[in-house]
Amino acid sequence: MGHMLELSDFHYYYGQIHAVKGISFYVDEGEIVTLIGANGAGKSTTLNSIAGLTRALGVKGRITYKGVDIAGKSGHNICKMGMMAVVEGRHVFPQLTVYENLRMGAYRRNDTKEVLKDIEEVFDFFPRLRERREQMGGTLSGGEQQMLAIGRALVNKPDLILLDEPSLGLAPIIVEDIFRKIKEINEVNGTTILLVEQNSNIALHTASRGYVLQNGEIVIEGKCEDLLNDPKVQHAYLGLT
Amino acid sequence: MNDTLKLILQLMIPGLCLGCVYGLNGIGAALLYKGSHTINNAQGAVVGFGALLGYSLQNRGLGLISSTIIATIACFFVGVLLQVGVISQIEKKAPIYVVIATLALSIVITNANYLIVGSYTYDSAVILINVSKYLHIDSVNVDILWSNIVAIAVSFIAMVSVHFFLNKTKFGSAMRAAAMDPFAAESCGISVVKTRAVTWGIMSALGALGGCLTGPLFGVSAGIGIAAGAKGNTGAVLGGYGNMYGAIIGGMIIGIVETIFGYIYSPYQTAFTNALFLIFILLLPHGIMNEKAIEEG
Ligand SMILES: Nc1ncnc2c1ncn2[C@@H]1O[C@H](COP(=O)(O)OP(=O)(O)OP(=O)(O)O)[C@@H](O)[C@H]1O
Ligand SMILES: [Mg+2]
Repeated sequence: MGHMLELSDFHYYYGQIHAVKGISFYVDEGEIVTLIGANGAGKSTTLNSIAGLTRALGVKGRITYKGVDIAGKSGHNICKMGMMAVVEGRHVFPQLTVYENLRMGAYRRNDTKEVLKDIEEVFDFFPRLRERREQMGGTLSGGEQQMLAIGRALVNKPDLILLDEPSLGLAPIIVEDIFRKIKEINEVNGTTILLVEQNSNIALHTASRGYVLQNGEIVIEGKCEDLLNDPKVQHAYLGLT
Repeated sequence: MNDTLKLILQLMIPGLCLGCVYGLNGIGAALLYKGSHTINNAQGAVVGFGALLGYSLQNRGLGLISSTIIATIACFFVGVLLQVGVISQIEKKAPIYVVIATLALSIVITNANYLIVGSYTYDSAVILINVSKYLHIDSVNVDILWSNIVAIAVSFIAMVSVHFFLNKTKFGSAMRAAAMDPFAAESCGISVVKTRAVTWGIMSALGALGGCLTGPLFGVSAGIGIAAGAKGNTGAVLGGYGNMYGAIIGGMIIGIVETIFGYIYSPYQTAFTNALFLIFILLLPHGIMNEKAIEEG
């Protein structure tokens, strides 16, 4: 059996702009893998393309998920294969309540009874969301929206979660909290996670393997403990000299 | 006292009836604007098509109820086909092209209507037996057209159904979600192609229903829906563009105001109504429901 997710020689073009230039990497079942890199490195482009949320025309190369080539497939079909993206900038539904947002996360599922139980579980996981159950998504604070976006992915019961910068714009205390939850999702539910982050320090401490993306190319890859000790990574991404 | 009440009833009921049809058309306009930020100029032509279809089915011996239901369902699929076959391709480029494309589509469909029925206006009495039947209210000595009452009641049921569909069903919620954020909707497994197709289906079906309900009152002709489609849109703006409930209220207001102006001085009925609309929208651009439809600087 091959890797759960594998990109080989993946390119992405925004028209003439060659944003991702032939990268290859894989994620195995049960792993947390992180993709780190500076602004504009191509992290979101890669993650959104895996989830089928970019224009199919721009995708070149192969993306296989559970042995199926999904490159260029539409987002809702990929979601139905058990993959859920928590995209950059949260994207909660602003005029749906917290509860309705969660119901939408479970859209692909037809086992309503189980869904309702799982929503309660998300509320146990993020008690702040339970208190705001009937509040509109758009009126939540940034951190609460991030919890909702992650909660929405959890009720989907995916086998693979793609997370794009869950730390964006959050206070350090909340970032730590969210990353603890991410680890818990992986360890307790056995969900595989691909984590895109700018906060390299916390990402490398959460994941087991990592890839460093620079100008659309993977320049360094390896186990996270090795990356944390790599002088180049320390210098460019961890702020150590 | 009795005379005033009588006059109000005599104006309100037909006004409300017209307003319901505008409201039905306005719902589609609001849903479309909210979801795709565009305008369907072909709505009136589809209304005409639906009314003609309903008429010809009755002409072939079908009952009023079954022909209305069939025409409404048929137009649901017409709307779906329009979206999937034409609009979705154009929408990819930019929503504004839809405005222009549907203008062209409107002319094509209206001419197809003419091709089928000619420029003849079918006499109302032929179409609907009960069009000349009145409900007599003794206390105020008023006669109200049964057709008006039926049209108002059926429109009301349709509006409530759409409300429940959008708010209480899974697919309805998905339609609202996709309208708010299509990108996030796709990531949740919602097919935005499908929600948009159903939006067009609902828009066309509601238009056709309105056409079938009131066509008999005015006589059915190829271009019968054009005004109703346009006024549905006007009502939607009046109510707060993009807000379905505002569109219903806005449509009702236009129907009633128009009827009152028609009573006061009918040659300038449309001009007065539109002038009033302009003044209103200058003073209250977000409409009755205070819907901030367009990002303002
Ligand atoms: N819609 C677009 N059209 C044209 N170019 C784009 C578009 N989206 C992104 N790009 C370009 O593609 C490159 C990669 O962008 P991407 O969003 O993937 O970066 P990122 O690694 O996620 O950055 P950040 O950490 O800032 O989110 C950038 O140079 C960006 O300018
Ligand atoms: Mg990004």
